[in-house]
Amino acid sequence: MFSLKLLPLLVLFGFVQKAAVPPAAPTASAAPSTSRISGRVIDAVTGQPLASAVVAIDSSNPPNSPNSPDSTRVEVAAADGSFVFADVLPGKYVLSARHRGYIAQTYQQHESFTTAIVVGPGFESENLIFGLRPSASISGEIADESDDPIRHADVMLFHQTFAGGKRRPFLIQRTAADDEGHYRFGHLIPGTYFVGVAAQPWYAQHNVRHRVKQESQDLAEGGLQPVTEQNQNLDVVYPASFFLNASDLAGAAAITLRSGDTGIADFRMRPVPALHLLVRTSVADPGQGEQVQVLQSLAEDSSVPIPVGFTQVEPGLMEVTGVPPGRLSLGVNTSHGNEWTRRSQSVQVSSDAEIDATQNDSSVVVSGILKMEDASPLPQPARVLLRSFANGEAFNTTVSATGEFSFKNNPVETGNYELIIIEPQALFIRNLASSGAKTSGRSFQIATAQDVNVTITAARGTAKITGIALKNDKPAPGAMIVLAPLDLKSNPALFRRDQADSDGTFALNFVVPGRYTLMAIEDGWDLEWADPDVLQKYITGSESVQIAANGKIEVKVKVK
Amino acid sequence: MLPRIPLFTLLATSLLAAPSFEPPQLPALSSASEEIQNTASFEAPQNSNDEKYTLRGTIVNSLTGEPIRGALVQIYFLGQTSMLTGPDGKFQFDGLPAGQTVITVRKPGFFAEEEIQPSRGGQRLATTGPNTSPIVLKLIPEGVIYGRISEDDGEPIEGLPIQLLAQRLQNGRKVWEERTGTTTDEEGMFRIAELHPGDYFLSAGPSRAPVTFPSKLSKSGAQGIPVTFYPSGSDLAAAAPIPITPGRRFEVNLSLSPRPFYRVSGRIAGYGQGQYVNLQVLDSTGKSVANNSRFDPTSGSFQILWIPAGAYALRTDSPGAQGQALTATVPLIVNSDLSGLHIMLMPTVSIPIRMRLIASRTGSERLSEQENGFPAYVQLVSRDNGLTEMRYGAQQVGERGNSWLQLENVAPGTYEVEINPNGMFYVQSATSGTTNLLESRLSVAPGGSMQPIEIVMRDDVASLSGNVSSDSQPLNATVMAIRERSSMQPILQPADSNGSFQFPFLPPGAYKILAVDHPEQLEYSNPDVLRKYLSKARDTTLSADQAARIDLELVKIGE
Repeated sequence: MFSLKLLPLLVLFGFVQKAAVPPAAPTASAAPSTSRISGRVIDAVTGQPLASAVVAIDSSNPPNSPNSPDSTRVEVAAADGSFVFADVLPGKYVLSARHRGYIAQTYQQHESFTTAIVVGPGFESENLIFGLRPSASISGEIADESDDPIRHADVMLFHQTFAGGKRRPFLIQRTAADDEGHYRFGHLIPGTYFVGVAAQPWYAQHNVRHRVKQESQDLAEGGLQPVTEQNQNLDVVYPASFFLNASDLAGAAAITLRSGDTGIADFRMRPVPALHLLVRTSVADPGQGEQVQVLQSLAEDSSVPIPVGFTQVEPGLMEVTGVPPGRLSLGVNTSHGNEWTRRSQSVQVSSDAEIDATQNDSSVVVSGILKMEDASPLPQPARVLLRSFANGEAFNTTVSATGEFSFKNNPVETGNYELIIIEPQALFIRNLASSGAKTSGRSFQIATAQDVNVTITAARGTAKITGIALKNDKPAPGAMIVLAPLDLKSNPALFRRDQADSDGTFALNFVVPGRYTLMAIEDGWDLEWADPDVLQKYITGSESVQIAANGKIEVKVKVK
Repeated sequence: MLPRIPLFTLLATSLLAAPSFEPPQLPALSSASEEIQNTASFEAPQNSNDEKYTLRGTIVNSLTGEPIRGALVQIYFLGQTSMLTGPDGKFQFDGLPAGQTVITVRKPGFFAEEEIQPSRGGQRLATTGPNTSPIVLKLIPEGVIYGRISEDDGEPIEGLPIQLLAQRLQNGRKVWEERTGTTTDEEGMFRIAELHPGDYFLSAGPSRAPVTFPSKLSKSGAQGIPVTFYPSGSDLAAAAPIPITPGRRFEVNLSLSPRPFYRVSGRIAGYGQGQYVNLQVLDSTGKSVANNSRFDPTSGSFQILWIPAGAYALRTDSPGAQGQALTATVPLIVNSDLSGLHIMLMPTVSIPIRMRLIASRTGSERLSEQENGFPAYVQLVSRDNGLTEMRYGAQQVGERGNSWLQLENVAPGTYEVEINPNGMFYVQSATSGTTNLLESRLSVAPGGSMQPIEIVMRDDVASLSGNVSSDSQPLNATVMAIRERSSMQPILQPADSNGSFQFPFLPPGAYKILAVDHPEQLEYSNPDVLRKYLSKARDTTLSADQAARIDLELVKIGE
């Protein structure tokens, strides 16, 4: 089942519900027959029972109608790990469990999906085996070149995981080292991890080297820090560092954790001379404000801001200090009255350099108009999302009542991009058109550094598919259900997935009308389904389905 | 943000140039002489500029006297020059002109002396020139509070909020301040560093969610960790201070038992249709505790899912019609599940302020006639609500040409009225009906309209000047004018380094005048504390328009 809804217990810890929840509807008038949900909680690695595990059930409501917390029932597992929920009314329930030292999870959890338990005459809801995995951790010490701890060092944990059907490292946790340079990431599931550190020498002095031309008579000739040997020694930075001694994620050593493992990743940061960049900007008027922002790229979709200094040497020329070597995103903000415009470019620097940011613009502003196919007014509020195929980076912006939107605050570089309507959810993209960019499905290509204008035609009436996954004519709980568009490459936003529940049933919501291939894949949770080559062998021989607007269809799918 | 254009400050002599980027404030030379090492050699440089000198010294740990390696030393001769101390804690800057510079020292884990006691001295100065000796500067090691929180069976408690509190004197009044907070990690451990010396109070909990759940969440039986103040107990008044001295590492291990969490429910009435009601549960420190409350605007019912036993205030607010907010605060004593509470929202109160200035000097009346130029700023202050102070500031209402100050949306309660004149005026009287607000507090009843606060001000102020003498030099004195038989706060005026002081305006009346060295260490708003020093004060009575003189002996606080 699609679990966009509350996961009981997991959510209890952060339960902040301000709005009132409608009282649970009376389930049945006549005394219905009740059943039990029972089973045992065990250590998934050793098979040992987990006494005192906290187990919860919560009736499984469709998305967008959250459960009342009162509908949650909790039991504590006995010494042999067994638990019983008696007198359970017929229905679908999300089962979850937690235990100290283990990862809290839903029953047979994959990503955010679970196999919900169906209760009622003829359904098996007893003798469930609920395996919890001991949680792992990674900890370590961050020291400087003198072996002093680096307090407040920014430590980042990347998890090699699935997102959108691709396996790649994602930044999942971030913490600051304590006064002893110590950090710790806990509650980790088994898998492959990378650890990176961004820090700056606390003693660094990034002095301006270039003489500032200024009319003010207060500015004495020697108004800058003297370039002495002492000052030079302190004009240093720590390049971003990945375990083990790597400068970027690509070169980082994987830390592979099994259940219950304790990983150690210590760092010793080494200073390198800070770079001085001269950035030529298009500012001519001394009254115009200018700011420079520098981000250091660590991985495809993560970068950290670098606390650089910047000084206007003369109008149109800035000296940027405290710059580390590596791949950087250099942003220049310029004021025009109260308005600020931002231009950014990606640069690779290894020594002092002069950068011309006037010609720059590899950066492109995407803007456009969103209109309804039937020419009806656009429902408000509305938001669209722009996502890069190359690195998964995504920005969202509001759409005005007249349909205009612009990603002017997030200029992008050339490449392939996808547009998605994220609000209102009932709308879907019927068609994408652009005079300047090549469109294909919901995506488009930015080939040159020219701003792009896109017209999105939207329609109402997403459909819902319910069904049952069968293997040898028997329900196949836990199977991965994939609804794939015919054009696999250009429409990642059209994919829908679910996990079959204990009776084999599943539901796919907010399906955009069109033609699809529907698949049920057993043990499919490790597939890189976004890769057309991977999915192709499952598509071959699968049924294709045509989904009409506002359709509600029911299907049977054979598990592969 | 605009680009940082270096500003260069030129001081009296070109040798004493301030740095360009973060200019430290240079104290006046006259008051800085104490700070200068090797005072004897400090003379105005008379020689030519081409002589070069060396500044050398050692950085030591103030606690152990050990040298500190890798400390950042910065001086400001024609710009900033920085270096790190060597393994022996020593530094040496060569090729400097004769003169004087601010010198700063930093190292993680330490505080500079001027950071700990900003009132005592300010910036450090160092002198270069012939016959100067190496200098020794101290860094004060930080304090750390760390430890582990577990259940009584030894199992660690994860995610429990830990908060440090400290008391501070603000305008002579002891106020509580929240300092650093953190939460316990997977192992129940916590660690808070970078603590200045001082007394700290530590609270742990309450847990944000129960540690034990009932079989059905709608049933009672949840258990959680209630708030605990070190070393034990739920009462801040009974908490023990943790004395942090320089370099102190203080370990706090608490073993806490889960206690029942209770449910509280009831009904709220009196709010406008379709309006939302905001619910807050405030603990004895005035801090909002449970945010797991629910309110259903259609039925008016509310529910607090989990709350530890204790004494609370339940505060409800709703925006009312015509901009008049609604509020109700009821005490909430929880030691079992509570249901059927009934809360009636009442309109807040607006209190107009009528001010009159009796002017005898030319120019005064003009100010009171100016548009927006009210002769005083008025605030209501409530200190009944635990550690936090609540203030209402008067706002201008009415139209152009016919406007007045008004205190708006005031919740029922008892308040002190603070009146701060905007010029050389004093408050002759402040009343609300028959209540004299200079002596008594203002009681605001729920839901009613209030009669105006009437304030009469005068400009025939008195002035007082004089001299403070002391055996210690240089002189660091503040003179306090303490009004007799009045709730008015003492008026403070620092004396200059020669001890001379002047209050340019004081309301006429009887005063006790006291000169102290460290008013920031004196809880002078507490009459019991102040009484100890009043025997050393001099009495004076000032009449209208009088210019009086008085000479005082410096009283040292804490001696």
